[in-house]
Amino acid sequence: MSRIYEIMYLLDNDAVRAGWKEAKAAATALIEKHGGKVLSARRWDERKLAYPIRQRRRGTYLLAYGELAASGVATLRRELDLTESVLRYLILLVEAVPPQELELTRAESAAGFVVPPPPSEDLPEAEEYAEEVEERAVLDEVPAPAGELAEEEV
Amino acid sequence: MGYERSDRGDRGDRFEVPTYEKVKAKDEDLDYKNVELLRKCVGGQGQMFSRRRTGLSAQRQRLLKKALKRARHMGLLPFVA
Repeated sequence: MSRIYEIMYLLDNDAVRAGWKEAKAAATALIEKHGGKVLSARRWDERKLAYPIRQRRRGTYLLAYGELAASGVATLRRELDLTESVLRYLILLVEAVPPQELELTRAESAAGFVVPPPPSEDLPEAEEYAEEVEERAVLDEVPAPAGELAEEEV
Repeated sequence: MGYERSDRGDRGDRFEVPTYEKVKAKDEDLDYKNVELLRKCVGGQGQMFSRRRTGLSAQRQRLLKKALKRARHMGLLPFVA
């Protein structure tokens, strides 16, 4: 028996830069390889990561929905663990594919849709460092609200 | 922090109960993809707010916990900041 899963990939931007279509195809092909059916797949976002993962500071998220058997999920997980271009993944059981996802997937597959290339990532370290220093300065200036302090004491 | 016991009556005299603006997340979808909402439910260091501060029911607070942990796993939110 197969069930519907939501599969979120965090893809290496290097792989995405080589071509979004190829990166997406490679990711969705894995679902099919493990006996699944891809119901929808789209670029969810490209953003700065909250913390570096495998020395990457940015990454592209691919949100896919697929129908898989439980045994297929297990083997898919194993393969995703070994896939270098997938930094992280999250597989969740869902009742159904949200209708807006199907729409967004259709919109992405449409001819006129342009996927913006990911910005360069690891370079602006000096800039980030400056930002951090700035943030710290701001934190130092503004004393914590009285409410927060009071909570610590309770 | 220590304080001296006094004869000034019950604790209510000395402690002011802090009031917070609750995170208005009553009807919103507590999903790991809803990063904007999750960001409102964590403090400056990335720690999750208590129910008192989120204003959520116990059930929905558990959903928030799940969502937050998933978001952290995917690099959407920090474990510590």
